[in-house]
Amino acid sequence: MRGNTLLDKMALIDPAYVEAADVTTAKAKNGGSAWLKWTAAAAVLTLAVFAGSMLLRPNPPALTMPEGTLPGGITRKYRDITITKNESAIVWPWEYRTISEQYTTLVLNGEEFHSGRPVDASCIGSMIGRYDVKGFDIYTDQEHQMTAEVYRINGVSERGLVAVKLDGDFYVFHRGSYAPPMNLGELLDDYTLEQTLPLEQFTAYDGYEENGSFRLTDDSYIWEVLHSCRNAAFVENDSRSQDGRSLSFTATSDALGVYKSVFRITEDGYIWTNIFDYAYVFRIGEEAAEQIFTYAAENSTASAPEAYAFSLTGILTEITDEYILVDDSVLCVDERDGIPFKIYLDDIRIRRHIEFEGITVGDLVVVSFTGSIQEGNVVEGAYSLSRGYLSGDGVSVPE
Amino acid sequence: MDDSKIVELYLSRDEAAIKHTSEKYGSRLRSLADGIVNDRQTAEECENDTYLEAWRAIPPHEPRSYLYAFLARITRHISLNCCRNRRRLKRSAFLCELSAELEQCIPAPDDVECRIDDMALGEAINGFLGSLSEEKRNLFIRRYWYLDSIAHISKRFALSESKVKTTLFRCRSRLREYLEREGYIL
Repeated sequence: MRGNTLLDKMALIDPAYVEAADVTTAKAKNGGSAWLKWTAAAAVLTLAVFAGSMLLRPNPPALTMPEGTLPGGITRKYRDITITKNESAIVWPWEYRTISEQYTTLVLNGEEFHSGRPVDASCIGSMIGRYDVKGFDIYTDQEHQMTAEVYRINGVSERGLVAVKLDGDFYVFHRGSYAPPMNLGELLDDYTLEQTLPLEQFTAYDGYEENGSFRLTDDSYIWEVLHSCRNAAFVENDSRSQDGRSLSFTATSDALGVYKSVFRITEDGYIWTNIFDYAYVFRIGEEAAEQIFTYAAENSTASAPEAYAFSLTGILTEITDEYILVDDSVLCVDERDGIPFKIYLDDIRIRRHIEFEGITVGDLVVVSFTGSIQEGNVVEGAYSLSRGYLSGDGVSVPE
Repeated sequence: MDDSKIVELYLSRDEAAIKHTSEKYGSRLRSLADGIVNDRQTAEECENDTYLEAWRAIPPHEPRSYLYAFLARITRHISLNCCRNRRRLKRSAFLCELSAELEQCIPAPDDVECRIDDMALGEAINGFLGSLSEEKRNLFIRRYWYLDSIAHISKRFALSESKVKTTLFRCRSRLREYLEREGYIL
């Protein structure tokens, strides 16, 4: 028997087990499907991937965008090709993980914390102590452990977030258990959000329909309004209808280790955010929401949608010890317009795809990056490399 | 309408059976199909084909107490076939990935047809699933019965993706050990 036959034979699983697996969910991190729809729909989370070129969403379908400009001002004219990129599910061997992927767990005062994004040293406060951090390598079935310095983050309660120094850099570790604040005031106090979370870029929605992206000149009034709603209660049920208008702010915070999450204010008087991984919803009331809507309308200017990340698609043409070259001729309307882009291999997140996954010269690849394209067509901020498959008018990157 | 009454309608060849089935389970079946084929229109076709197949299969089957599971199994089968037969769906890579994962559970994979009958294999799989905790069992079934992506499972159960992958990896290893220990030759 082969795996595909066994996949079919899984139909023999007891119907009671099948039914149980369909009705069972956890206390939903990020809420129910309605919330997930919003995180997908919010422009800030739209993994806007040019160069290939399309908008990648957490759930495809991808949209074609036949021509455009890469960050760095490089204009590309591509064929009308749809690129569909699914989420990757690679478990890396220990030696191919970043330090924060290796040591993922910290137990502090009986609470488990999990590793997250890097946090800038300027945000670091006093040291809490030295604690063991642990990680697990499923390839060898071995647990790894080391002692690391744990710090407070300025303006942030250590009940929810701390910083851990690993290999000289600081990483946010966030509390793993579900312990939502009682009300908005508690959230504001615990994280000094008016200082740690700038509300600058937002997309206006009417239901699921986007009504433009805007840039706010000053967010202090919004925080004033929110502070006047300190008693706004935490709402357990986050699976609500998405009717009506809303403002969806890009939530990026160096101090909180948050990158382009969502902080949303709805016309019917709710705050929704996933900045702490779990979905947090507060009822601030329609009047407060209206104040924010009015202020945002009068104090913002239209802007381009902010991409979550960019991507570049092409054939891997060269691998050296230091870099790889990806040539996008295959996507160009005129193949002679192709450019070889250079991606350095000094980041393990790229190198592991070559060394472990076996991506090689001749493969069609999709490079995801958050930076820009510099002189010499050097792609900065590349964090992922995926093998794609070209078929007809589309490129697919399987899970 | 109660499941047993719907089944009675099938047994009496009353076409209202399909209408009531659709009203009660249509959205779940469509959602199941959509999760597998990843295409709304194809999912609707799979849902409709499920009703047709149920009409053919009842009788002789009389799934009064397990109607949804009966229908869902049909939907899964039809949806899997769609993925394999319709290249435009671009699901072959996903199915290859799932098949490769499950191949890790087979003590000695080969191209010979299954050497044990479905009843014995069903007993083996269900015996193994019965030995798992509820959470692990649900993760396994979401992945290999419902064919959910890792990301979907992690969101559904509020677990990190790495936790889901690790748990599935261990489940596959345990299934392989279970089959070896119990002497099943697949």
